[in-house]
Amino acid sequence: MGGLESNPDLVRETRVTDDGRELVFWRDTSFAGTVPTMFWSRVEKYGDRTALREKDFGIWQDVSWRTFGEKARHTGLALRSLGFGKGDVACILSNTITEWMFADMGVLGAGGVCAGIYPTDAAEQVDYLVNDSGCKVMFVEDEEQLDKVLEVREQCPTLEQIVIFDMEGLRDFEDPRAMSYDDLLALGREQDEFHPEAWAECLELAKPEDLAILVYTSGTTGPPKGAMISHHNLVFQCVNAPHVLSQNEDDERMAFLPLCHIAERIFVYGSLYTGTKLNFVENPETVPENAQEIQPTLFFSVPRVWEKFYSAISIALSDATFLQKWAYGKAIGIGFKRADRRLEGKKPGAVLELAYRVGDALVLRNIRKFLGLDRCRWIGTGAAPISPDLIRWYLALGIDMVEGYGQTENTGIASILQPGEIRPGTVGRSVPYGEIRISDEGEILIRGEFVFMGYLNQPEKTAETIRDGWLHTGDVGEIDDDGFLRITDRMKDIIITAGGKNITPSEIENQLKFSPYIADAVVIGDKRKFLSCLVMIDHDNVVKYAQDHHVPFTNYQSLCAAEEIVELIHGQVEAVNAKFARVEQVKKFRLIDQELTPEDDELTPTMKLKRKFVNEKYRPLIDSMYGGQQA
Amino acid sequence: MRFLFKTHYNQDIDHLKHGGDRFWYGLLLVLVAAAPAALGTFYLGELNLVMIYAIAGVGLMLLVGYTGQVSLGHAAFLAIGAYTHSLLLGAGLPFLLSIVAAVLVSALVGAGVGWIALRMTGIYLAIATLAFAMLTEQTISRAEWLTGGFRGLAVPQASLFGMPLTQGWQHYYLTLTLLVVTLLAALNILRSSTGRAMVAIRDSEISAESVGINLAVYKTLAFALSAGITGLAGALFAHRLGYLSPDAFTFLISLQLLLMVVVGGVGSMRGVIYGALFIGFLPQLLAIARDTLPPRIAQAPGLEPGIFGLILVLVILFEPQGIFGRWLKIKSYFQTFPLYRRATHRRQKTYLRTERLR
Amino acid sequence: MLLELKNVETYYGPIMAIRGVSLAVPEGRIVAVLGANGAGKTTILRTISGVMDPQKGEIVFAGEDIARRDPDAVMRLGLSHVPEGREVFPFLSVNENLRMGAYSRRDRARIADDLERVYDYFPALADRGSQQASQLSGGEQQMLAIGRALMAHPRMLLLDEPSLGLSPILVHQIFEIINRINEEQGMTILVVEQNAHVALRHSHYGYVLENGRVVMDDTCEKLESSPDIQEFYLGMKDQMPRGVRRWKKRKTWR
Repeated sequence: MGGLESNPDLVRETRVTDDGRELVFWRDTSFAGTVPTMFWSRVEKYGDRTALREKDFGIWQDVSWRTFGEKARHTGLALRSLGFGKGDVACILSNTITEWMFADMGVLGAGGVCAGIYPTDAAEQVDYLVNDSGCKVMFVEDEEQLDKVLEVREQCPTLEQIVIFDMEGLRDFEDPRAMSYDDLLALGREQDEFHPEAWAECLELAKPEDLAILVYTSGTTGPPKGAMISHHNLVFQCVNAPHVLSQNEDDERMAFLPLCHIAERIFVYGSLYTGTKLNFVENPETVPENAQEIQPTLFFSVPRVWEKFYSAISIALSDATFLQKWAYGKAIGIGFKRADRRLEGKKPGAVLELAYRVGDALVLRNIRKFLGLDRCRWIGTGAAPISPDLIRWYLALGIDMVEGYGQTENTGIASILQPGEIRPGTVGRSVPYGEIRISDEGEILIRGEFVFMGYLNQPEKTAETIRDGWLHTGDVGEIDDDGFLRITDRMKDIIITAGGKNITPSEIENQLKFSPYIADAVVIGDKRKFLSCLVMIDHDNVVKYAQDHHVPFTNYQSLCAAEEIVELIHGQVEAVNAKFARVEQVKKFRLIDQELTPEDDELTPTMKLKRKFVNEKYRPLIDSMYGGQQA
Repeated sequence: MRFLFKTHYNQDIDHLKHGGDRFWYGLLLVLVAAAPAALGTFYLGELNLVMIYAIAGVGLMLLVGYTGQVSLGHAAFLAIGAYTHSLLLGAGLPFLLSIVAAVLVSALVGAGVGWIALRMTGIYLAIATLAFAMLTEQTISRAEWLTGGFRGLAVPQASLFGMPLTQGWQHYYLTLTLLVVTLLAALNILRSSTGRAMVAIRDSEISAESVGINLAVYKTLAFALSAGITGLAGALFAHRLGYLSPDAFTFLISLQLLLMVVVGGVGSMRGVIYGALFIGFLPQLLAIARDTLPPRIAQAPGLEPGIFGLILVLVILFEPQGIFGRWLKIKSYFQTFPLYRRATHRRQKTYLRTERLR
Repeated sequence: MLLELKNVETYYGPIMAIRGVSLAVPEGRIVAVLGANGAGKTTILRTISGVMDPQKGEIVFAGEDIARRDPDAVMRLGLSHVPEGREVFPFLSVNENLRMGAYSRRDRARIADDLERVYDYFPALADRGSQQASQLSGGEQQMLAIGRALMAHPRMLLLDEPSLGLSPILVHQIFEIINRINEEQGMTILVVEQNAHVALRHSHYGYVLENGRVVMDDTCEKLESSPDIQEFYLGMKDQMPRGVRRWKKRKTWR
């Protein structure tokens, strides 16, 4: 991090909080404090250096900062010429590809507001989002997304123009209010030739306190809420975060999570700020292969990805020879011992360290390379709870995994562990540029310059969320004596049984999820006599189990119906039950016997089960566990 | 474990694909070049022989491994190269020119053989090449006015740029340089469109024709290249022998060359080197074996060809990809440890003719 | 169940072609296995008839485990395989091809009866009894291959893509004959097909294979009315504002 401190444009400020803590923030004076000026300062600084890479036609193709800048510039100028003004909203409905970034920077550069829509959303959801945001221009990835918009276009009076990135299959498509991205860029190029000063003027349009992006959070109660995030919120996080999560211009990251989610958005913006190269994967299914090729130096992702990596290794090892299994067992055992000593804050002894080096060179290094994590200085997890045992496994493997906590409403991380001080089960201390405290009800409150401006068109919800200057997160937690935050659960998810006992389902679900055979689980018990749960199995691992134990099955349903599989899951549930008090034990469970994808309503785009939705959709199944009685 | 980060299509055909390759081959070259300082005359001579075999092997591999044409008579090209070179050198031609001429004569004869054998495949081609080898042997022994027949032909002193090559190490460096040049040339041919045409012919002649590859031209060219390179090996071989006679180029030599290619690993140039090492040190191994075997068997006539045949059969049964194939398996085991899947290199039975001839 | 596969896994070198397939064929019924290219259908038949060995799993035919036996032993138990691409003996005549089908039998009189019956099923072959098999058309070769398999008087037929390379009319004819064989002789048949239309119309039960796994199995009527099968295997696409939908929906197999 020497590079950051020696940067003359960075100004350090401190402030003391009400309870005596010292806050430290940094401001970068080399640009005007908005995202487009931050972006453009990087374009001018890095010129022909590689900014982005994407894999196309089998090879990794570079996009330089200059090209990136040009595309953004032409997009922005074209939008202006189409009547897109300051404060107008543009939506992007696409997977994570380089064009998403070009469009985003173009929209922001033109002084507009950019809102992302999940590519797995259905047409009705698109309808709602376009109308709620007042979207004028819609960028779509391809014909599939285009069809969704065309279906609901009539109900969206504010929508003026559709721009399509990939015109495959649309050769005969003619529409006065739709154009291809290439045509848009050509329009922008023309504008640039006639008015070369226009772009610089555009960049001045946005002010730090203006709305920059809208991030819609999935509504578990009611429709999605559009979080309004300002330029200052974003820039503040970008400038300050590298001081807790080190990142510099020699790093390489992967970009594949949906950009409409705050986590990927803020990390990509952060990478733009530090000049880190972003590698865009070929398509969402090739993430593991691309990770192997890129071997990124930093990796931040949702727990599902970390669980999948762990699964992949377990499955691969089960097919290995005896010697290999033995060698792995020994090496990971030493890794665990060493990790445990480090977690206690002690240095591992010389003998242990030597044994670890040997195990590392022979076994663990290849496993890291296989996952693509060998060059990682640190890996991060967030946006959903992760099992502490999984974190320990990564530590044993020799990679520092840090967990962070934050919400859309605070534009990214509010607390983070540091590679030297990892405490599994906690989400670290508050970042030095923000404050966290626990309310009297046990709710986690956050304060800082990164807290959002409120929810679009929902003043009552905003007033509920930001009270007395503090952001009310809706999560329950506690801070220990060393300042480490531990999340208990979401307030709304806490179960109160018929007997009046408070249960935090996340704890139980986390433990269940550590089992390789369980992908996700939802614990049910609100106003019920006992706890039950619905389990979503991990298809690959359960198939492997069935194969190894000669359990015949045909399709997914028959797999879930097989007696031996139900037994297997029963065993996993019992193992978890052993760790909990009797009243917190899961007495019955059922398997969800359909293969779910993010396009189904039960799953969020980050592959988490939606508690409320699952409770409602599977009501008959749930009731059957309670003897047919309703709650 | 290594994953290539591909940014250009040319990376697919690079000879040295990554840093690891560059390091190890560089080291190998340094070691081989420094050998005369460390080895005594005998072993240096043996290494020299191995390299000569390797050059011949490159020639044969181009034909057998990459174009799929069988040849049981390559010793004939060795002979043609050896005799042409010796005669021209004796007639006063400069050394390098004589070698070039030997290569060209060999190539021309090879082209002739290839052209004649155009319509033959498989077993018929093998017989044709065998016949050619016998023809050559007979021609050499009967053309006494030219070759000296069974009385033999003395090989004149080699001399490069006026300096006579009398020391073992001088011959060693000459052979080493020619081997490196030949290998690079062969590898470059293979990654050019000519090489791809040759491989296409091996895999399916009908498909090759349907994309516009003139079978006659490329088969003849393959024979010519193969013969020319083997002729070069023959020329160098002549200096090692010192005295040429037809019985230095018998069918047994042809078989040894084929053995080298098969045992080394068909279809890869690295296999040629392994094969050459194997063949070069085979006489030593045989000598040791003779000492351990009971005298009845050790003195039996035809022991050597018998053993060659046995080795060939064992290799084809148990490791059809030769030494190089085995090395690849071992390397991939260590590279992917502990995630090496037992079934990575498993072979399946193929019953259908359509599959075997694919 | 005459034939049962349990948890079969087969590899082509390092690649897993079949990842855990279990299926069952009841006696006297026709079961179809559908799937696109590369789904693993042919591999299943080859594994059953012994040409390939499974890495894991059991194959039980009439109560005996035939999983790792040689193909000729499997055949003698009464399982006849008609391979993909027909594979007739090109240099033998039609008659000789058929008689080769009865190679492992000793009961002369019954062989003659079976020969009669095969010529009855396939009159086109009867006209070409002494013609060399390589000179027959594709359709006639397919009939010859099936006839040859029938000459072994098997208990079960394995048909590998009988419609491959044949004109639509001929495909119909052949499947009608297959139905006849099933009805008249009570022959159990496992047919692997890419042509889902024809296979579903002429079979009783179906398994759909994708990437080496079974994704759906049901009676053929239910399969024909499933929206996923209709879109991905029967080529029916719904209308959208822009015309017929071109891009593929994600499959749900519900």
